[in-house]
Amino acid sequence: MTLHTERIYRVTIKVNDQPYEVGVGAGETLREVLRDRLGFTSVKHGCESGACGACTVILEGRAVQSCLLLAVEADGKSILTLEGLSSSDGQLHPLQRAFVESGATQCGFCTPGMIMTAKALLDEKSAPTTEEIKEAMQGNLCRCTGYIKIIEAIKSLASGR
Amino acid sequence: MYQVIGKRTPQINSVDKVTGAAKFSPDIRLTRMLYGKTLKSTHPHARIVKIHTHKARKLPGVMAIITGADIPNNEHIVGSYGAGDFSVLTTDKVRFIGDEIAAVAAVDEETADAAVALIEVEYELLPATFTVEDALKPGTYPIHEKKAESRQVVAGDVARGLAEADYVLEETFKTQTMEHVPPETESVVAEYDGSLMRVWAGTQVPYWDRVILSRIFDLPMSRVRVMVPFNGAPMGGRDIYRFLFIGAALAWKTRRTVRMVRNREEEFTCTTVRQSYNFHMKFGVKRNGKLTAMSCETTIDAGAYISWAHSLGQSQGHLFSSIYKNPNIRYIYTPVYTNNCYGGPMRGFGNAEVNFAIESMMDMIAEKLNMDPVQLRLKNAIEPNYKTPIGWKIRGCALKECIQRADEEIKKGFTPRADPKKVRGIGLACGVHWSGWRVGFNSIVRRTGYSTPEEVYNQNPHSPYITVKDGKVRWRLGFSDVQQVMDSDASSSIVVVNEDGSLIIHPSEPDMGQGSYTVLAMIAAEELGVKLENIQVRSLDTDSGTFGWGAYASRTTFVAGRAVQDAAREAKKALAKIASESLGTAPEELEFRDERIYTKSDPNTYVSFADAAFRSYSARGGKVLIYKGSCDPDSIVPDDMGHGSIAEAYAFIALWLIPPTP
Repeated sequence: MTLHTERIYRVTIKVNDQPYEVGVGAGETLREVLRDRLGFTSVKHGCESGACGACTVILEGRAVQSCLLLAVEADGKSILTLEGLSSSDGQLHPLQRAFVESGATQCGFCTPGMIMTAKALLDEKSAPTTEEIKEAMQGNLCRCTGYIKIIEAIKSLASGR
Repeated sequence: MYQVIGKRTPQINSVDKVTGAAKFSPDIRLTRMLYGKTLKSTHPHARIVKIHTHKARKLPGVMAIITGADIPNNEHIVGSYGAGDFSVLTTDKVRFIGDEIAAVAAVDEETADAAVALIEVEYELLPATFTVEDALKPGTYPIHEKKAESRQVVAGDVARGLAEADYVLEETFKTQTMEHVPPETESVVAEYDGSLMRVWAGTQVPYWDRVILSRIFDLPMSRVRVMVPFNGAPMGGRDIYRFLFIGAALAWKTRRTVRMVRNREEEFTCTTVRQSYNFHMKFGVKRNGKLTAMSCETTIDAGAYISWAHSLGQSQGHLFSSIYKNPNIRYIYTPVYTNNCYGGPMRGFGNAEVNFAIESMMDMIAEKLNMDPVQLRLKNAIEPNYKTPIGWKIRGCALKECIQRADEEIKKGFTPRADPKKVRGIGLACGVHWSGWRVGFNSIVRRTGYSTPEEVYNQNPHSPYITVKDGKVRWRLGFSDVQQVMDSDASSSIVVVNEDGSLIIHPSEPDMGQGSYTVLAMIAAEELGVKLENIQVRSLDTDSGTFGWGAYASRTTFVAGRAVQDAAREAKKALAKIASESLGTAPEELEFRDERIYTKSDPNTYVSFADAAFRSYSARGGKVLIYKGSCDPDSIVPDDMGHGSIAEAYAFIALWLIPPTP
């Protein structure tokens, strides 16, 4: 129940290949719907202003900051969160494996956003240079690693899959 | 030599982080949760005349509104050196913008926010002070009844050392305020059902939180449980944090589960900062570069409350005395209250700041003496097996090696330009840090929150800690004669060997992303020969009973690690006995490796680790395989002059900087 909602909008969004029908308020963000309403807790609450990237998901193939999108804008669209990245039998996606093996996680809070942005990049460019990786990832902040291992993890997959 | 230690090992819980399975406190969802929000001061300094909550109470969906008056023991929750000037919710006057004075629990966040906006506060505005310089001027409106005292770390005779010097350098350095900006903002999920209080939080110090919660709500510790899920890099900012206690207070008041998460603006406004410092340093040195005296007067912008300021100052005094050999030390520090945000630990606990000043002094001295800054440092650097003038027992020390290595790297990687008008910067600095921190927290303050029996009496005349005799309030017999200073820096652990030979480790400190759980697992794996994938480290839960002082002061590997090693060695002894009975080999002749227990002289004679474990579970009179371990380092609590040795081991550092080749 939201206090200030005059009208509920029915939206249908596909998350990790599963359709969801949700009644949302006009001002509800995609981040709120994914995380608070549908329980995808990998979508983190970091700044609510598009500065940190912790809420990054893939919307119709593009990495987006879900805190900057209204839920109604995602109506009829397809979204991938980190929960949907491993295969249905639990096999890690190569990006997930690379992050583990490169030591690219410390506290793990920025990790979901990092992996989603990296996936969108590698889906678009299979062999990005280090500079291209840095540019694509610049919207994702990390306070622990110093970024080097994250870039190495992504680079390790950058020869095409 | 080692099977596991020294080998590149991914964090044991990184799979959870890359799949989204890792749950941080804000990810916890429980049924019928309420949502909490706080009311903060918008004034830097003002007396609270009255708080009007009646309009907010009328809002549908508001379950509780509390102020400090609603919390049983609201005052004195924390503060260094017994100056416990900080409350769960401030009641007398607000002292910084962001000072929290009320909290609301409601059915959702929007309602809680709306309710907070409806609370009206009558303030009497007071003059505010924002700089140390202004705060030190006579006649400035006081922020607390008493100014914070100066304290010192002193050894030798600085006046004589300065007099003996060929050259004295005197300089002032300032460092700035910094924010932690942790990726996970402060949050807490707290619940109280009238019987048990449970708190989930990304804290660094769950056992500290438990004692304070127990004190605030008059609950025995057996009814308070603190659990730490995945923890999003607090970096010192959640080394006792107010938000946790406010959440617990709302849970206590509502008898419900309450979730509170700070937004980023609140995180910047309300939470501790790395304070700014002013270092006035005076070093004396001989012409050949040998230091004769080091003196420093420091003022700390403590902000609105004393928090950790005294501890930070003392730590800096220790560090000041422990990089270079020099018998004459005087480090005097004064926390100064201002109406800025209050401070707390942040990555290094005062080291980065004081080190910047010390190393700048050394570079300036080198320039004045026309000496290579590397040579100046080598001339004075501390060496192994050295006792510093304040008593730090340095055992191992590779400071000189580090400096020499830095020097080599600079010379390798740098060629000065031919054009003297174009300069490229290079730099070197060295320092020291501790692995552990035995600083003698005041046991009376820890247990009661107060430092005098009169203060306890004013809060609760029936407190079990006091008696009234001949009209005078005293500590009760047996309480005050306990040593006032807590002389411990211990960690502990429980290692459980399951029937299948897999291990569960209960740690005493939470992992904050630095990988401490992985370290503990590696140590157990090394001792017992169990594979890492068969070792689980449970996330910190105070109900495990594995008491530890907390994740700070770089202590977990060195102290908690040895507690796990201790427990693992007990397990090893027991399983060796079982295997020995099976194999007919003496326990001393057995080796634990690759999940086998085998005879050293004949590796083909073995039992599997799992079989040995199962044997204990299935045999009559078999032992339950639960082992506890502990470690209290060989360190010495400092006295009033700062003399002591706060850790058993110290790490020395040299950093070098060369510009990239153009």
